[in-house]
Parts: sequence; structure tokens; C-alpha cells
Amino acid sequence: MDIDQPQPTVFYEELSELEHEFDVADLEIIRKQWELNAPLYAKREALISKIPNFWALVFEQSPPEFDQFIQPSDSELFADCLRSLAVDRFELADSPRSISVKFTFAPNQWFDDEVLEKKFWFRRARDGWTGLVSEPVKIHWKKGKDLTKGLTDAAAQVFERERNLLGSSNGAGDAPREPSADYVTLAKKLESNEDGIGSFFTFFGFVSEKQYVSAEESAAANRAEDDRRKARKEEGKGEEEPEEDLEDTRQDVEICPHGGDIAALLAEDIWANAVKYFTSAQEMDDEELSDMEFEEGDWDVSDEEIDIRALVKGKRKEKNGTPESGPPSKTQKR
Amino acid sequence: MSAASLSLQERLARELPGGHRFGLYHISTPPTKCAPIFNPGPGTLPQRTYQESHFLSVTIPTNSSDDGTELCIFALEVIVYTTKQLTTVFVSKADSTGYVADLKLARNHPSVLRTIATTFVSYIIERRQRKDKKLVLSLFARAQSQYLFPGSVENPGKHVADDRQLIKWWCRVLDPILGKYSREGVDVNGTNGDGQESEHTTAQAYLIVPGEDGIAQFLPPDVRLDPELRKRWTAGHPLRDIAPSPTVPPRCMIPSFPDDPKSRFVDELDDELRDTPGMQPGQSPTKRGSGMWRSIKSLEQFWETMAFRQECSSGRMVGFLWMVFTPGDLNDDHELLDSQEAGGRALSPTPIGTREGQDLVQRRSKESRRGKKLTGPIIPRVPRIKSNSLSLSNMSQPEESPYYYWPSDSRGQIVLDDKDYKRAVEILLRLDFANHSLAVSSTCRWLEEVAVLGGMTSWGQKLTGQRKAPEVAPAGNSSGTTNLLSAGLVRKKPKVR
Repeated sequence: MDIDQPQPTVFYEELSELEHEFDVADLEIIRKQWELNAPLYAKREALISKIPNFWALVFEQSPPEFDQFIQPSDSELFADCLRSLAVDRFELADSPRSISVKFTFAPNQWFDDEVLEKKFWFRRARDGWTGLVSEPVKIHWKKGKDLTKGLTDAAAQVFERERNLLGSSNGAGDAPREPSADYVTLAKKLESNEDGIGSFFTFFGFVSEKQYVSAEESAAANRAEDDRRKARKEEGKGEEEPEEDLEDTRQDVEICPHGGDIAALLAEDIWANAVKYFTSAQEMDDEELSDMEFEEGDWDVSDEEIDIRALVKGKRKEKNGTPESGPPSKTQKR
Repeated sequence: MSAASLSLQERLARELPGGHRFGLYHISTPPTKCAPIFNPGPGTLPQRTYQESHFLSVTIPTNSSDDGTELCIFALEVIVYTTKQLTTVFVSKADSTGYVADLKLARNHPSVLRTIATTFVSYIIERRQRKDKKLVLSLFARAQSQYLFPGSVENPGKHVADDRQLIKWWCRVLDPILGKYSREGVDVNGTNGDGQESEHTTAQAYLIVPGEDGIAQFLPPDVRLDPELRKRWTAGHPLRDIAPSPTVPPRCMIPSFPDDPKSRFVDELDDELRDTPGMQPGQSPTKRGSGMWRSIKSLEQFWETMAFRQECSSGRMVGFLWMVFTPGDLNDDHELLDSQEAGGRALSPTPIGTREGQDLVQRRSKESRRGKKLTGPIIPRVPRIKSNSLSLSNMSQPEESPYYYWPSDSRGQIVLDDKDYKRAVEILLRLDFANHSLAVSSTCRWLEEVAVLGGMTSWGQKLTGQRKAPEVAPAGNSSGTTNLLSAGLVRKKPKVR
């Protein structure tokens, strides 16, 4: 290679534009995949709805990155009354990354709701941040049965108040305001308990990993982003990117900091691969049984050889008064 | 009623301070097959090993009101490993929250935490002692700010002991247990053993602190001063006595435990074996050759070198403690047993090492899983959370086998399988004990979740302490002891005004 020949210059902007095209392709893949799979998932639903405990067993068998969010008391609730789980991409045409998850429950001792449905919108904030945002779903807990110890109620209340405030001003360029009493109480409650164990049901109170973004803000931000891209393309140089707002305005009242991840895991892994997890849960059962059945003679053939040796010395050992250390008799099994 | 037949609850009630109420929460697992703790000797099979885990958490009522809320003060985990020849009781974790200070006990009262530790460890030792087999208690003392109760280090009431204090603390915990047994090599008559089994069983304690010359400085003052008591503590290790066979190389005499400070050293030394000429990469160290490390040829050398390891040097210190319990009728044919049953196990045509043995267990279970494809009508099983405690309490696992002893009178109130047991401990590790109110809600949370795991609505045993506070500090206890008497791990600093 001739080192004197000047290298053609590649611009970051070109890479960035390519990334954008990949992103557009990715959205198209999601749409197509969803369309192809939808009738199959409907068929699956018809089948698995006839299998009791299906979803409880799927959750039980879920990988650790999901399982870590489920406490024993959540497992108990799911085992008792979770009837179905459905995932939808309810903005398939405009925003295929938006998802909804719908849990259906049998009448139960914990709450009055039969359906808990949570929507996650994939939105863009003014400052360029993109991600899943949601609104708290009110769970009508029965008295003394709230697995989240009041967190879902508090989250709903704080969110409602914020939205009212947002409605009264016009959103953009808010003057800094005093946090409400609800806000302070909830923030305090969560403060030192960040990595503590929370009930899975805090998921229904999730708002955002960073900030809440309204549909209007997202639409405006998307338009601005498109304009910037066009400007870059046509004039070869673009406006400045919006500066990311580093201040995590809502973080001290987010009761489920990993809500977005949980939603994605639910939709893309747990729900999508439910049959795989169910089957493996059923296989576990078989395995445990067979393990018990073969307890006595397992592991190594040579154990038999050792037992033969033990027999040779067996008589003398019994004289020492240790009959209880002999092999377990079948009659001991209850 | 002799002390030996008392339940854990009764024993603790006898020892804990009079008038104070405590809650006991004890969970355990059935003996479960596990990876061997000893490397197999050259050309021998790994020993079939079972582990039974015990977790005890002790609470006090919160001082605010009588609403039934509780506060964890102390928890410890003990794992019982058993093989055909040996019972190993390993104290794996112990930690306090610091809230024992809420009891506001008189300074001359024996430490509550130490009392709990002594009573529980001694209880497990007695109940898991098999008549014809040695039992060894093993633990390593090294300071950590928080083992089990996250955030508890922020509690000003909790004083984290340094390494040296912690070694001393454990010596004081274990020393009273020795008193229940006769000393090795001493006629069984004329001892103060109070249980029948204890009378025939001898006990000897061992301590090594790599890098420290003597052990006297770590022993309780009364032991230090009394030559008879002093004989019960040996500066050294019992590894040769408890080894599967007296003829195996050092690497097969050193057991390894979870979070073991000496394991990294053993692993590095094992790498030497893998480099031995003629060894294939990935081949078991025991498959070829003698299984002798190249640099470390003896146990003594191992411990000497241990002093220079990161874990035991540059200001850090680890105390390795053992107590060996030898049943009376074992002594006669002890050596015979060793050579015939253990040493003579070199039979297998395909010897395998520890890790390889573990892999084998895993591989087999995977094979069996893959082996049969599920066919036919689907009968969904019951979710684990609904089947746990019940199915375990009447499960078919026998109380004893040649490999373990699992009497029903000394299991946890909740018996969980290994997976759920780990989950229960894991939940505790994710809670927060940084201040009083967090600790109360965390305690409550943990008790609730474990109850659900065990399929119970409520659990635990309540007791009221019966022990009277000593009127005056017992004579003979020199001033050196008083600072550790009242609080054990949680030592109150003298108030500065």
C-alpha cells in the first residue's frame, strides 16, 4: 500500500446516518416479525389457557436477570391466581417499540383487580433521551394485603400531581418548583432502600428510568430530530444536538428503577419464549423425581465395590453397636 | 432432664439473660449431595459428600411498643458436611446488626451474641455427632464489616471487631463447648461431661493464625492462666487426623469451604500440577502422577507460606480454628478404618478430581434431562412455592444413611430445599439494616418472605431468658476481660464527655 496516497476522509456524520438507517430497518424487522408471529401467539394462547399454573411455572423457570425481581410472596400470588399474560405492540405502525403487558387474575385475596394492564411508550425527550416511559397503574389492594407496602399508591399519587402541574404550565421551561408533600414522603421512603427488595408489583408503578415524557413532547422532539437530520443531509452541516439533561428529575420517586428492563425482558424473553420455560419447568419436575428414585445406587459403579468391602467388615462393626449406620432400609421411607 | 436432650429453644432460654424476650428463627435444608470438600487422593474416587445447611436468626421485640414487631440482632449459618467417614461442621457466616445494645444489659452480663453462637454451634455438634465417626468443627475468623446484614455497619451501635478481636471472640465462643467433653488422652471418668455421649467423646481445639507465633494471646484469660485448660488448645491444625487417609498428599488433606481464604492458595498450587510434564491441559491433577505440589511438600510448609499470602499479611490476619470430637469407641480401630475404608478406595478405573467430580454430577443430570423428550398429555406440576415445606417434611429422604445423619428433632422449623434456602439467605443480603426503622421493616420483610417460602403464615419460636445476671463480676476475671464481656462483637466504646 502506498502510504503517500492521501486517505479519503470519513465523517462521523456518515456513521451516524448509517446508524439511523439501521434503526429504521430494525423497526421494520419488529413490525414484520410481529405480523408473522401474531397468529401463532394467538394459537398458543388458545392452547396454554387450558394449562393450569402455566405462567406461574414459566416465571419460576425464568432466568436470574428476571427472577431477581420476583419475591417469594409474588411467586405465591402468581401461583395462586395469575391466569394469563399477554403482550401487545399497540403502536405497531408508528412506534413498534412501544409495548403493553396485560396480566389477568382470578379473584384473589390480594386485590380487587381482574386485569392489570401496563403500557410502555417508546418516546423521545426534548433533550434527546429515548426510552420506555409508562404511567402508574392503580392496584386496588385489599386491606393489609399490599405487597408493595403502599408504594404503588404513593407512586400513582405523586404522578397524578405532577401531571396536573404539567398541565397548568405548558410543560417546556418550567420554573423550578417546590416538591409536593407526597413527593417528599415517597422520596424519603425510597431513599435508603434503593437496592432493597421490592415486590414485583412495584413494576405497575413504574414511570421512567429517567424522566416522564408526554406524547406531545415526544412528537415535538421527533420532529426536531428529523429536521436536524434533513438539515445535515441537505446542507452538509447540522444544527447543534440538544444537550442531554443530566439531572434525573424523577429518580428519587421511581419505585421500580428497573421497570423498563423488566418490561423488555417480559416482552422479548419471558412471554416470547414461554413454551420453552414451561417445558423446562416440567422437565425439572421429572429430574427431581428420578433423582430421588435412584438415590441409593447412584453416582458410581464403584460404590458397589465399596459396599462389598463394607459387608466383609460389617459383622465386626455391628458388635460395636452401630447398626444405625447401615444402609437405609426401605421401611424408613414414609 | 439432662442438658443433652433439651431443644435449642430450651437451651437458649437457660443461657440468655433473665426476663428478656427473644425470637428464634431456624431454617435448614435436608442433607443434599454436594461437591466433595476434600480433593480425592491419587487414583481415588471423590468422596460422596452431603451438605446440610442451617441458618439461625435471633430477634428481640422492638422497644417502642408491644405490637409484635421484631428486630434482628444476630444470625449465623452453619453447614454440616458429611461423608462415610467424617462429619464436618463449618461455621460459614455470623453477623450482628448492633441492635443487641437495645437490651441495655448490665456490663457484667455474659454476651448475648456469644451465648447464642456457643449454644447453637454446640447444639449442632451434639445432634450431628455420629457414634462411630469423628466430627470436626471448622471456621475461619477474619473481620468483615457486614457479612449478613447490609447497612448494619452504619449503625453506630455496631462496633466492627478487627481481625485480632474476632479471633479472640471465636475462641471465647468455642471454649465453653470443650468443657462438655473429656480431653483427648484423659480417662473418661472424672470429667464434667453432662451428656452421655459427651462423656465418651473427647474434644480438642486447634488454632493457627498464620504469621503469629503463639496462640496464647488469642485464648480467654482463664484458659491462658490454667495449665489444664490450656492443654485443650493446640497451636496447630488437625488436618492429618481428619484426612480421608493418612497417606494422601497435602492437597488432599486441606478441605475447602465457601469463601475460604486458603482456597485461592490451594488453587494456585494446583496450577503447578497442571504444568507437570505429561499432563494434558484440562486433565485432572489426580489422574496422573502423585498429586504432590511442586513447591509445597507438607502441611507445615503450607501454613508457613500462608502467612505471606495477601489474606494473612499486610495488616490482615485470619484465625483458622478447629475442634475435633472423637467418639470413644472409635479410637481402637481408627487407623484400621482409615487404611481400609478410605485409603483403600483406590479402585476406580477412571479416577477423577474434585472439580471433575462436580462436572460429572452436573453432566449426568443434564444428560438425563435431555435424554427423554416430554410427550403425551400435559399434566402441569404444582409451582414450587405451593409445594415447598409440606413436601419436604414428609419427603422420602431417610433420617440416616451411611453418608449422613439427619434426625428430625434438630432440623430447622422451616426445612427448605437448597435452592429456596439460598433464596432465603439471599433476601436477607438485599435488605437494609442501616438504622433502627429500616432494620425493623427489613426484619419483618425477611420473616414474611421466608414464611411464604416455607408455606407458613407465621413462624419462629419465642422464649424468655432465664439466666440471672451475676451480682458482681466473677472473681478471677482480670480487668483484661471486662471490655469484651458485655458485648462480644458489639463493643461499646467508653463514652467520652
